[in-house]
Amino acid sequence: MRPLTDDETKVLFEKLAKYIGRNIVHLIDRPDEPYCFRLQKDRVYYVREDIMRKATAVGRRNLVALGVCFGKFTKTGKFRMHITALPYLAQYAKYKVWIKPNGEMPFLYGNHVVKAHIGRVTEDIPEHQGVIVYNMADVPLGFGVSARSTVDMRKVDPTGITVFHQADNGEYLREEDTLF
Amino acid sequence: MDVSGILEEHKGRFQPVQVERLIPVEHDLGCLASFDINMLDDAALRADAGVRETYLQGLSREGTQLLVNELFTLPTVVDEDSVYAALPKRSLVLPREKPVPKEKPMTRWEKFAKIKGIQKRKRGAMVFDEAQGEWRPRFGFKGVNNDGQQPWLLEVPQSADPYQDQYQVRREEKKERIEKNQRRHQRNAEESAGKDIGLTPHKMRKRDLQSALVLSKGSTASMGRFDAELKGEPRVKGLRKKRSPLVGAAGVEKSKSLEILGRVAKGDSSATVLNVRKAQRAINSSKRRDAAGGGAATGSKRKGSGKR
Amino acid sequence: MGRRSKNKQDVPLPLELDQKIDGKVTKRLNDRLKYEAIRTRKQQESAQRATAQRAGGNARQKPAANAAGPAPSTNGKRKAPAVSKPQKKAKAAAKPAAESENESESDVEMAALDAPDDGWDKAVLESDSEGDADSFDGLDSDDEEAAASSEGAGDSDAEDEEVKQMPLSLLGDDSGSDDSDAGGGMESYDELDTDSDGDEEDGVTFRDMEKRSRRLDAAREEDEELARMELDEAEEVVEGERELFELPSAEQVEVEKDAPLDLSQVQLRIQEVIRVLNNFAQLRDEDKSRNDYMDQLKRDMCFYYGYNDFLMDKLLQLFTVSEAVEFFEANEVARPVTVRTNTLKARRRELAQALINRGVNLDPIGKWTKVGLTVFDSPVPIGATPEYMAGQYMIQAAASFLPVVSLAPQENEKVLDMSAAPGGKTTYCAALMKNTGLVVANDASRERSRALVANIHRLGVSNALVCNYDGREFPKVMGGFDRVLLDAPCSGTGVISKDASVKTNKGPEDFEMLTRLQKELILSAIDSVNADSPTGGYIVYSTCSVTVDEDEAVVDYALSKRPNVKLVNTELEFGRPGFTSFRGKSFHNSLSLTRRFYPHTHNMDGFFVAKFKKLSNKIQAADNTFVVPTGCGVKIKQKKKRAQ
Repeated sequence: MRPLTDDETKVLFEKLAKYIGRNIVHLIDRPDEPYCFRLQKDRVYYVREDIMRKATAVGRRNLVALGVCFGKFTKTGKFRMHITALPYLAQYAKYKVWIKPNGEMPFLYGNHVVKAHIGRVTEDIPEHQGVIVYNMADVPLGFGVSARSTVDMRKVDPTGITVFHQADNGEYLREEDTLF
Repeated sequence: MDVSGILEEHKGRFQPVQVERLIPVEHDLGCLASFDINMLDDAALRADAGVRETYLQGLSREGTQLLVNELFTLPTVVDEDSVYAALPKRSLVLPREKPVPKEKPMTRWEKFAKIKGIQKRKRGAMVFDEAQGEWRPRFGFKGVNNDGQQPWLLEVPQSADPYQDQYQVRREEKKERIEKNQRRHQRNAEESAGKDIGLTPHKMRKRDLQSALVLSKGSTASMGRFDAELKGEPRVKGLRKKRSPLVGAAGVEKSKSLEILGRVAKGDSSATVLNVRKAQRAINSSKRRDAAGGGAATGSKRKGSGKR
Repeated sequence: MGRRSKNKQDVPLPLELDQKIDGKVTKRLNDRLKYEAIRTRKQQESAQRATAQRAGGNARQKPAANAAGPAPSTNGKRKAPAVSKPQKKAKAAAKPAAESENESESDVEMAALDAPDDGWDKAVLESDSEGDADSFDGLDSDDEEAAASSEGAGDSDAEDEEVKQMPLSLLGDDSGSDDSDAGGGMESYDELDTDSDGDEEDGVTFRDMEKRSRRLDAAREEDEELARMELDEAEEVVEGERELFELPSAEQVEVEKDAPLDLSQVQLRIQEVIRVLNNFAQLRDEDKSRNDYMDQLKRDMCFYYGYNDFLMDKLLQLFTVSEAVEFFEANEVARPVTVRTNTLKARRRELAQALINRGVNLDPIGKWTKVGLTVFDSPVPIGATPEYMAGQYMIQAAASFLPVVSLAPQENEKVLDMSAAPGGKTTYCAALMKNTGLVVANDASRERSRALVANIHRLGVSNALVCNYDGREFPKVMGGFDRVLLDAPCSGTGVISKDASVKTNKGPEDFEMLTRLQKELILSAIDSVNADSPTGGYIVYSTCSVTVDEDEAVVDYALSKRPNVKLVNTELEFGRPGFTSFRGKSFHNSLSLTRRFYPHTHNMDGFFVAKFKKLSNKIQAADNTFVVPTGCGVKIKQKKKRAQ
């Protein structure tokens, strides 16, 4: 476990900014308790500082996880968000898409969101921005990248892809062996 | 006729030819220079611009006058309508631009010769070829030792195999001599290269081998991560990356994160944080090059730092 | 993977508290066997009589209910499930609460869900019993054999119903109904009716209605009389058989080793031996000792249930003979699936609503937990619903709620779960602590800790620290916990219904190894706790095993090795108290504060829970000096050793 280097922090923030924009500030500068980002193996964990302090007693080989895993750094130095970051992304999401009940399962099986399944959309989504996907009961299901801006979404035919799938709750079952 | 009036007038129009200096001025007529080491008038130099200018101009004129006076003392040659003076050889030495080359370490032969007191005897490059009646180079193109054709007759020594090709023997002997000389040349170069850092050629070779080993270990697709460790494998002593402390002082990490966040938010990806690792690597490799370099043995000059 | 497999285990039908143990299973078995014997005999008789009647043209009435049904001669197969059905049905019928009928089941559930907490409890009872009754109705229609057996079991309600239905089908126009109806009752009515078939179908007039109904009454009376007669007869027959029962001789035993008997025969013999043992003075064979009978019983049960000798011995020591049979029978039946609501993400009422909308049939587990739900059946895989993926619930055995309920972690505490995978208990702890404080989840296996991390993240737990140590290293790695939960690795004798391989693959050496490990772990667990903690200082030790070696013996060992802990009440209002003495060994008196749970009494996995309170961080050693084990949250100054 170690703190992120400046480069890593930058890469992480750039990725996070795609989903929650300036709200990253609320992750770093929390009014309740201090939180921090820590790197263990190649995973980035977002963890309360007092937990992190206690985790220093645990050996590097023996420490499996702490706090909430946000994602991992690839070998090429890019950052890859994992579904486990969803609670925080959903809390501070800038752009949201709500999908109808008939679109829930297809999305949870790892498919893109087609226009027919969209129930509601934030007004001003630009193209290729991080989008959080909810069901109609406001339960976050996953996240992805907008294939078109909100305006263009209206013009697409019902089977056209509107949000590219990146991660969904189904990964807890599908990817259990690789996700952690 | 009284010309004193005219002289006076003339004198008034021109500056005097004779110039008085407290310390005599030195001249180097070969490069038309004179060196005046007398004190300058401090008050005049510090006075306002007009006074200073006149003072400096006067000073230059007087210096020039002295130089010209000196020139007229040289023996002259009159040719039709002109008068010439031959300038003497210049005595001024200009300082070198480059430093004086270091003395090369002595080769083994030089050391030996010095002990034995053997003088180096200069042999002329040209030899007189009596057969042809002309001077020819000692070796090389059209050299006497390399006469185009072999001697047409060679004596077979008593002890030699009668069926041996004596010409072949000669060629091989020559080749051996060349190789031997090259080996010695190599040895001398290696010895001189290690001399600066106090290493024998053997130690140098060992060091090079180890660094090559380390390099090759890291040259797999996984950067050597999955390679089995060899027995007694040298441990690589690289620069330790400086990391921020595991548990830093309160608030330090937060402010640093906020600063980075500020940059990210501005979309300022070009003015990124200094990549400390990369910089360290660059410094490290240049240091290594310096340490191993100098020696002609390694020879190859790396151009640039390579793209990373 | 570990998670999935462990999740599958699970769990109980609505729990019956303090159910009396009275050897019901055994009795049922007996009854059933008797009944079947009689029925086959009756069938033969009735067939004979019918032919005689036809020949004589004499219309005689015949008993309706008992005449039919294929003789249950499926002896090749084990009949354990079939046997247990009547028992359950009887339970359902016995419940007075079942009287309050509701129209539809979903209505009941909705009512239950809408009701406040008190309402919940009421609803539990209602829907419990109804759920049972329903499922068995289904069985009746599906499974003729089961129906027949339940009738035989003396369920008068069911019989009445059948009788009532008969006239209706008689009155119906559909001639095919006679053929399609499997009940032998139809046949007997054909016989009793003097008119031709066509005539009967043609119409029921007011005139003969009275006659008919009188006939029906008479038929019913006769039926009942016959049933009584049969029962009496059966008693006699069985008594007669009982007189005859003898233990097989040594030669027979030898023979049986090579050519085992039919399972049904073995089962019969088990029943007989148990009966003899229960009334040993009267029924015994004078030449045989009690041990002879026990040996035979063990042999037969090992063969019938498939346990190895060692485990059979262990378990028979634990229970009376008849209760042991109940235990073995309960192990053949899977526990119902239960789920735990993740209170970090959802409320139970909303979750139940969402699942009901998906067609899942569920109920609260019981009044002892406010987060558990029992799933009776589900059209969708319960481990792959969107709610599951969103982390709103966790599939978790009801028994594994217990240690956490007992531990009762408070907010802002530092809690250790020593063997945490797959994370059911850990996440429950975190939920109770509302994501404050710290939960250290440790598991010795790297593979299993992966599932642990997955569950922790899925359920949105953010105060967890997952590490991978042998639990015995613990006070060294980290100490000073407020509470420690030790769900020790065990032989799994309480979860045989989940993993039947335990029956055969656990030998004495496994038990020795496991108990040693458990003893070491419990000492580390105790040493990891800070007794000075203002809110805590508790250790909960639990196993999913029912053997005394792994439960009471370990706790007793801990009490003797660490005089600075004492047992306290587990705060679980049901379960049986632990043994204070067992086969000559006597344990500390306070062991009655521990709790045991059995599959046959509580309808959850076999489980053991003990709760300790640590009183001091110092241990008073034999020579009256105080020793402080490391890692109790107490700083110890150590003198530096001088290098010699």
